[in-house]
Amino acid sequence: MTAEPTGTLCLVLHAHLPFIRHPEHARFLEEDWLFEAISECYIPLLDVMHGWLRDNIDFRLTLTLSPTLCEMLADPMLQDRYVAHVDRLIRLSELEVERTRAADGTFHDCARLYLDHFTRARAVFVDEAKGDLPGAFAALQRTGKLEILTCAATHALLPLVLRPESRRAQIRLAVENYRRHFGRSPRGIWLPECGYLPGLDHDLQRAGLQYFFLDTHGVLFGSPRPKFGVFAPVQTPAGPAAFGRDVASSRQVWSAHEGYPGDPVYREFYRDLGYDAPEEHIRPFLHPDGVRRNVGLKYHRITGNVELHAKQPYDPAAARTRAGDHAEHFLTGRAQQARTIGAWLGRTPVIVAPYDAELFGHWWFEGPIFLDQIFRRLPQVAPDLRPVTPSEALLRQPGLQPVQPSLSTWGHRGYNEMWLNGANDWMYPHLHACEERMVELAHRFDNPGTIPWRALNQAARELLLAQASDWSFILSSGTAMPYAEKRVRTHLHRFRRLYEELVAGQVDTDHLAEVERQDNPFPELDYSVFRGDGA
Amino acid sequence: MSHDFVDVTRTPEPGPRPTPPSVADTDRGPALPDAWLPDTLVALVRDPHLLHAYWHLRDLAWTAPGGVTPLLRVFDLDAATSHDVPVLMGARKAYLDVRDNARFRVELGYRTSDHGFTAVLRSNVVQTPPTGPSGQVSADWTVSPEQFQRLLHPLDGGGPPRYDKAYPTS
Repeated sequence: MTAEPTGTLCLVLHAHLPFIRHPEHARFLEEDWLFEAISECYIPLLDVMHGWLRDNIDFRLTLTLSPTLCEMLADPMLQDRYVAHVDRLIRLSELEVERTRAADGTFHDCARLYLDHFTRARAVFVDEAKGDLPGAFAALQRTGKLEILTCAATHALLPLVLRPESRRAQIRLAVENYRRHFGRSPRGIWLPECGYLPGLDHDLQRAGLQYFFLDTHGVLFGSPRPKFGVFAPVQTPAGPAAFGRDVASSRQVWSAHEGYPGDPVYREFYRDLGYDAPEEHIRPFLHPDGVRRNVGLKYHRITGNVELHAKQPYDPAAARTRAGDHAEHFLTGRAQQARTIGAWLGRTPVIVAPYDAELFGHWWFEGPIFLDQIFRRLPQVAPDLRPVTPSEALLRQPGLQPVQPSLSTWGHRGYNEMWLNGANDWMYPHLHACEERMVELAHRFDNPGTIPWRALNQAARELLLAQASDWSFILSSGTAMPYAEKRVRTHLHRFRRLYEELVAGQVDTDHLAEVERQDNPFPELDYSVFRGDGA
Repeated sequence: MSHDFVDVTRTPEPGPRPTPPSVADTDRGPALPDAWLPDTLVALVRDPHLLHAYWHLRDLAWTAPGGVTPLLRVFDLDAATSHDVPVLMGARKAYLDVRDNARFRVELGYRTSDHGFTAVLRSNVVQTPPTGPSGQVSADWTVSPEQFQRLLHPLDGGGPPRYDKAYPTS
């Protein structure tokens, strides 16, 4: 690697799931979202990073672990349920290894792959991490090669939060939550959905955050014109730096048609043993309602533009080779891009490549291999490209241009449409009314007794949970809609009841204890954060 | 290829399978009483050309003085112009066409017989984002139009980038 690179590469993964935890049910379907992500994304990512360290691979990775995700990963009940979940999958995989061996062997390698995969996931979770995945990531951060970002507390789309106090509460609580999980203050934040509105940088500055990320047009349409486009961070009016997303590196990974994950050799996500297996075989591994769903064992490859029944058997070795080829192609493209853009700009470009972390391993099964190969091949394929964390990128900048970014998100069409349309706009009058009342409560109650203090904190918790952008997104996308709607209504209903009890001076302690048991994230939460003062 | 139980030829699948219902699917949660909402008119930016406005009035009796139609008056604060959009009070929401890169306020009210306008509710001020690059160039950070055009090139048609993502992620 040369002393002065032709370009720097800032690879960012955003890991987030909404807070889903249902102690009132022995098993709950939507909790599987977390369990699948642990097995398929977070543990493979840990494994990849540990491999880089073991083999002295020089890497830099930036990773958001959203506060709700951290709260779930640190929750003992969910940890226990994850172990039970992965144990079921290990048992299913063992049966599948035997069954596929006894058959013609077409899927035997695949079945063994899953047995190894789930067995390894369990070993990392139970034996190595002792159930504490945030702690495992925190240890990697201490090497200086991983930089962990925070995110808004419950992933609220901040441009659609009405009260400034409520936006600040999302940010300030996130910073406090980060300190508890990672033992230091965060330097940067991933704004949920890259949602930015002018003025938000003041709230970030007050919370001590030094940088955040925007979609491409949030920087390019900023004012005045950014001299270096998205290839250098800009300084917002309040001070924090804003990094812009590079289109080319995003498109190569995101796109359904141009992107790597659509390669015919890769594993097909939608063809799953949960549907293919005879009912008597798969029933013990389904949820108690017996409805067929994906179980996570998938034996076919994408093949091409054919229907699911025409998909061909998956070849793990061929897919692994292709992931390495794609990593090399990605690096070659970035190196060429850096040379070209560097010549235009007259300075070393920063190429920011952010992705949803759950793409890697869940949707794109080979994604962790691709990531692994990026940093293993970088010294040979792109020796002039230097991987950096955002903090390192800022240190390397000779100066930041002052720019006011424009309102933007990284959602469909670049603005708020995905979270504000006919499918979900019913929730905003209620969300905003509760914001108003939460701010009112925060000012009305000063030094309350123990019971009102608990009720105030729980009211704040219910509002925060209702604000998650996940619910409005799900209502737009058409999957799991009843669950999302129920979550919003339930949290707002609980908020309203607590508000009325607080105002009346009569808190139902049994009800309070029950909702505290069910909705329990953020033990550090103090309702006074909704006063909006301080940082 | 032969194997012992995957008989997919009998059950062809046309495409991605929908997520089956969860255990909570028959229950969409408690009703949220409108009576709890304050009297309000709120404007939100959906995109550079569309605002969302919602309103709530506990007392709807004002709506028909002489049978007039309620209106949303959309004020373009930068151009000092306005336009009216007839609404049904019971709809309680509307999507409003606006221009990009401008500040707006919305009022809910009705026209008076003397061609005036009586506002019943007034919204917050919102600003739509621009749909293209700023016309301002910093003296300390000059950039030629040709160079900036090269930096804009990845945006194809000039708007936000589109990735046509294959996965239901945001």
